[in-house]
Amino acid sequence: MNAVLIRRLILKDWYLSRLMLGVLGAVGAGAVGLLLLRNETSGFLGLITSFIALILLSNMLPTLTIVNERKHHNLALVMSLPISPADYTAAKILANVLAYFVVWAAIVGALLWIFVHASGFGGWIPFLILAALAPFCAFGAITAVALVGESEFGAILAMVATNISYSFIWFFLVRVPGVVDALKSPVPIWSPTIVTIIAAEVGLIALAIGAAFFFQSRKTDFI
Amino acid sequence: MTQTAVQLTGVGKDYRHFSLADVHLTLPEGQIMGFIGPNGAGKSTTIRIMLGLVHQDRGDVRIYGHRMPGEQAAAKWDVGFASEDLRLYEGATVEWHMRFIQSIYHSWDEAYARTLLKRFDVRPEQRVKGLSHGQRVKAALLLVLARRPRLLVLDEPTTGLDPVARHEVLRELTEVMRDDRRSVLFSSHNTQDVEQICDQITFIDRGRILECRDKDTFLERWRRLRIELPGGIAAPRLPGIVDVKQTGRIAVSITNAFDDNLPRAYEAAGIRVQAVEAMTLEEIFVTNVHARREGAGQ
Repeated sequence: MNAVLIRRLILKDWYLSRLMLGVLGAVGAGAVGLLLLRNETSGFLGLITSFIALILLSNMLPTLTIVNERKHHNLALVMSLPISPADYTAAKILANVLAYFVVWAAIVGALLWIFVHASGFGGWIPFLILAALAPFCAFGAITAVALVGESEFGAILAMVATNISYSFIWFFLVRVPGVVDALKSPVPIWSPTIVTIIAAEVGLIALAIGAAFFFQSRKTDFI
Repeated sequence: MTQTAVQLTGVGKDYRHFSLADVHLTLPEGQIMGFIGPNGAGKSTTIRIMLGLVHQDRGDVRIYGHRMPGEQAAAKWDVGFASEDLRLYEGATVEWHMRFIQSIYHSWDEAYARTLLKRFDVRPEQRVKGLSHGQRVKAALLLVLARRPRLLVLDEPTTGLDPVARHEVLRELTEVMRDDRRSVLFSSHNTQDVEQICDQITFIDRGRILECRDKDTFLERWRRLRIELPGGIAAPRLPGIVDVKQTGRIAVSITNAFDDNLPRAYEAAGIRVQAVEAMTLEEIFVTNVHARREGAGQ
């Protein structure tokens, strides 16, 4: 693989998505700011807005860098460069995962910092990580479908499916015994159930990204 | 020693409703090949296979000796590709695209790029979104030309351009070919453009190569003969005649293997040859396609 060209392609994708990354990063920062006001309404709004930013990013980043590149016929330009299919796939996955991870880590890190420093909310920390990994899983699935499926319709279906699934996932999470009990604790409780769900979410992200790389780099037709 | 820029041997690709069959194509270094075919003939599929964008099901593809698609990353350093359906990023400026391509290719010639900006009347600070179709095509060509690739592969680059823009593009391609180490494969269904700049011509239709020769041979061997027949007889189909249209005693026959013996053969059969006319590449192409489709070809 050509590391120099992969780096150039990553920088290209970041440059072209800079506006969207900046806006959603700012929305996330604003949401965290609301939490810092430390009253119930602003705290609720801040938490919800943070998750909206993560969900929007999980939809918009693959749309902008993968779906639109194909839809707007830019893919021929990229694939005419001296790169192999594996180089293209590696660049696309790294650009997306790194960009998503940076924004995700900044928002979730700030939320965790607030919860760590708020007395009596320690039990919320594991739940927050569980809940915040859900948009990351959705991002992995949407990226994989957009990259391998080569269809805007397929990517939209993946977005609709993942967006609908949040209600079910969070509904389910707050009813799992090992999770709901930990919420009431003033300190974080890392029950086997919580650790298992986190491991499953991380595994799902790795599986989606790995499958995308495996199938995309073996494709025979690009345009 | 002259190198071979492009070599396709027995290349095939099957889709549900279209097959590219047994394509043999050789483009020597320093030549411009016009690749002519109607819409859906297989021009773009062949070009995509050459660039590794689509993998062939059968056959061998080599670009400057690099086997495709396996060695495409190495091969594409020498190839500049512009296509009707290759678009630049709408949200970025022409200047950004220039810097992006320059960061990849060390062969980028900044002075030449600036000259092309002026010749093509493209403003570097302008976003691609705000460019006209002609300017977008010229900006894409600028990015390809300014890095001075050994092989230019242009898939219908002049489609949809106004006459002025088309003339600018063709003039630039002619300039490029002053360097005899550079080769161009120029796909088009505009035979005028091809006739103007190409040394070699390849006709393709329905996924099959019909004919591949140098342009002068094409133009010399294809002739239209206006003949006058004695009353009551049908125009004979002599060897090399691909099409005959007869109205009463007057007939027009078209040959793809003209030599001085053909008029003599007609005269010997009692048929008077009124005129022997040269044909344009477009006429040759259309006749060739019709003849093959009707199974009357050689």
